[in-house]
Order: sequence, then C-alpha cells, then structure tokens
Amino acid sequence: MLNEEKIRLMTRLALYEKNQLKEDETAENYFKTDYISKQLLGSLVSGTIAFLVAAGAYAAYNFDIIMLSIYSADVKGLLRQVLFDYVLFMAAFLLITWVIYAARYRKSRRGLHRYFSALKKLLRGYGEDPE
Amino acid sequence: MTTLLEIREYIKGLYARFGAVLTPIARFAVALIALGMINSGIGYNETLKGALPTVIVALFCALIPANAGCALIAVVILVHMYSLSLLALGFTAMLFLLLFLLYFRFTPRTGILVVLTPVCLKLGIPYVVPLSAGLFTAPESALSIVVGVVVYYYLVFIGGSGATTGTGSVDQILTSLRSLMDGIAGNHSMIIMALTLAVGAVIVCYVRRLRIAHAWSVAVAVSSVVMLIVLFAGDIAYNTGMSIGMAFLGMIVSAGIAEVLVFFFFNMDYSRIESVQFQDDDYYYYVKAVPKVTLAAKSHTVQRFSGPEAEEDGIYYNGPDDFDYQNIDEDADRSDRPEDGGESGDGRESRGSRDSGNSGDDRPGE
Repeated sequence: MLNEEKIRLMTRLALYEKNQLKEDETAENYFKTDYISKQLLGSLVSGTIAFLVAAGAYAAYNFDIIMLSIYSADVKGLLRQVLFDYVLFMAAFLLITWVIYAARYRKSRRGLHRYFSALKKLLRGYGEDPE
Repeated sequence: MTTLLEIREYIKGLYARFGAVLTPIARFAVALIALGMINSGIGYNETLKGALPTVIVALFCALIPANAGCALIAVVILVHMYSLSLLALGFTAMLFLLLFLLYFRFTPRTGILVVLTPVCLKLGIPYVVPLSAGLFTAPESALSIVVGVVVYYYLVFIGGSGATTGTGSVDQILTSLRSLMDGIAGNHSMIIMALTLAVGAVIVCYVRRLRIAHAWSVAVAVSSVVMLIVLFAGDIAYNTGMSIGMAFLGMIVSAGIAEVLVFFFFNMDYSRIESVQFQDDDYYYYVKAVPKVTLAAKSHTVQRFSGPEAEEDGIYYNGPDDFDYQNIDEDADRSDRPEDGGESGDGRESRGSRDSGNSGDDRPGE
C-alpha cells in the first residue's frame, strides 16, 4: 500500500541528497571560520592568476608607455602602482568571496538541519528510534 | 481559464511522463542554436563548421552535464579562433581563463545561462533570461548573464573584424591586440546590455520574494520597466544606435514568456487568501495562506457492462441510478488491499479500515 506522505518525504530527501547534500556536508565538516578561510585561500590563488593574466594583457596594450616608463627609470613608481592595483583588486575579490561563502555556509547548515529533521520524521514513521 | 488550466495540467503530465527525453531534446536544441550561431559568426574552421560535426557536438552537449557542455562549446570557439590566428586563440583563451577564474568559482550551477544569454541575444529576446533566472534562481545568476553578454559581444566583434587579427611583425600583433581589447572594453552596447540584464535579474529576485499579491507577475513587470529605463538611459548617454522599437518589442515578448512561466510554476488563487491568527507560549502568529490554482485532470474510466471480462469481475448494470460514479477509484483501491476486504463491505467500513491501515503503517511497532 502506498503512503503518500512517506513518498513525498522520501522524494524530498532523495532530491536533496542528489543535488545538495555533498556540498552541504563538505561545508559542515569545517567550522565557519575554517570554511571561509579555505575559500579565501582558493580565491587568493585564482584572483592572483587572474590579476597576472589581466596585467599581462594590459601591459601588452600599453607596451609603448611601459617601455618609456622603464627607460625613464621610474620602475619603482610603476611597481608601486601595480602593487596598489593588486591589493585593491584582491581586497574587493576577497570581500565578495567572504560575503558569498558566509551566506553559503549558513544555507548549508539550514539545509542539513531540514534534511535531518525530515530523516527523523521518516524513521519515526518506520517505528525506529531516530536517536 | 479552465481550459488553460487543463492545458497546463496536460503539459505537466506530459513532462512528468517524458521529461527524461524532453530535457535532453531541449538541451540539444539550445546547443544546436548556439553552435549554429558560432559557425555563422566565427566559423573559420571548415571541418567544425559542417552540419555533421555540429550535430555531433550538440548531441554531446545534450548528454553531458550543463557545465561540461559550456566547456565543450568553449573548446569549439577556441578551435575556430585557432583557425583564424594564434593571436585570436591566445586572446580568446585568456578571456575564457579570466571568466573561469573570476566567475565559475561563485556560480558553477548556472553555467547554462552563459549559453542561453547569447542565444537569446541572437533571437532578439535577451530580457527573457534575467526574467526567468530571477524567478527561479539566486541573484548570483546575474554574474552568469553578464559573462554570457561578454561572450556574445566578443564573438560578434571578432566575427566582424576577424580578418584584421592576423600575425606578422610585433607591431602588427600589438595593433591587432589593441583593436581586440578596444572591441571588448570600449563596446558601450555590451556594457549597457550587461548592466541592463544584471539589474533586471537582481530586481526580479528581490521583488518576487516580497509578501505581496501577484509577487511573481509584479516582479516581471517592474523588472521589465526598469530594464527598459536602463537601456534607454544608456542609449541616450552613449548613443549606441539601438533600435528602440525592437527593444520594446523584445521586452514585450520576453515579459510574455516570463508570464507563461509564472502561470506554469506559480499560479496562485489570490481571491481565496486565508488570513489566520494564533498563538503559543512565546509568539503570536499572523499567517496568510494563498491557495494554489489546481485542476484535477480529467480521468476517463472505461467500464465494461457486458462481455466475459465484466462477468468475471461480477459487474452488472441495472440502469444509471445503480452505478456509483463517486467511488470508482475507491472501489479500485479497495480491491488492491486484502485487509480492507476489497471484494465486499460498504464504503464506510472500508474507509475506516483504510485509516487504520495508514496509522498502522505509520506506527508498525504498535
């Protein structure tokens, strides 16, 4: 005999397991600060590579000006400017990372909480003690 | 309205039955349009440009995950760029690397929008992407849409000026590189379109969550108006030469498609809103419940009144008053349950035993 309530519950659980559980469990394995730090580290690497690529393209675009700047011995000023741009870019990129992954961590916890509540409800339906 | 609801239920039923086939077909169609667009715009590689390779790649895109499909289309673009020149390949690869590093870290799940946005831009209805993405996904999808816009305008630009991106002396390469970068960074149409679509997606996301009646439809309407304002303001500021009539028409068509989506996925009966209030030890609760508009699908039951099957079932027809039309399904259910005594017993008894069956199923230990 079909029990529609159970089918609904199991479908919801199966959908969550298929789409979200792995990601949420990964987040749950860390403390919030550790999780965000890990993501910030990833962003630091990818952001630095992206900055280098963009800086390379910019250098190619302004090849003449840069060469003149080198010949006029203002290398220090150029490097200072590049460093300033890098810090500014990374600050913005890391801030975005922090905001997004802090929200994602909260969402993961909420999702897992709902998942385990539904799982308990299902187990109770089978007469098993969820604890 | 009833006919529309019936059609909706019919289509939903059809999708429930054939969804496993319809979804890859839809993805195949999108991939085919995208590849056709790439071939017509930047089809520099004659082998890949052919019909058979295009269909095979589109088939692959339909069968593999959406993000892998995006990667495959990116590879096709890179092959075309390689056929054009090494500089074009290098610049395009650099652009894709930047997009990958800065964007895919945050919104890996909405990669399909990166393909859908250029396709809809080509079809003249780009606004449908932010409207539908805003209705069904998070505000982060605006990032995917912006990336899609950048890719589209880049392909259009390189398709138009591809002949100039040749190789040769250092000066020639630098000049070509500058023209490519100017084509991207100095393209005001692209910047305005990216801004318009991003703003549209964020507004739909925000408005549809408001606790107001017809929130989804209001979100579509508000976002459409704001997108038109941003588009026209950008056109006035930068004089992009955009066709106002086409933009208006595209917006109306896009809003219409979004309304169809709302009808399918969020159809509420606001005339029957229930507002209730209750309390517990800690809180007062003010709850507004909006019923969904649903329509039971028409079920056609074929009942035999004569012949060997009817006699085997013990069904005899004694005129229209003798037949219980209300309990056709219950009778059928009852016959499947041995504990209900399906072959005999009146409706009251069987309903009682079904309830006890459910409770017994919920608590088998008792």
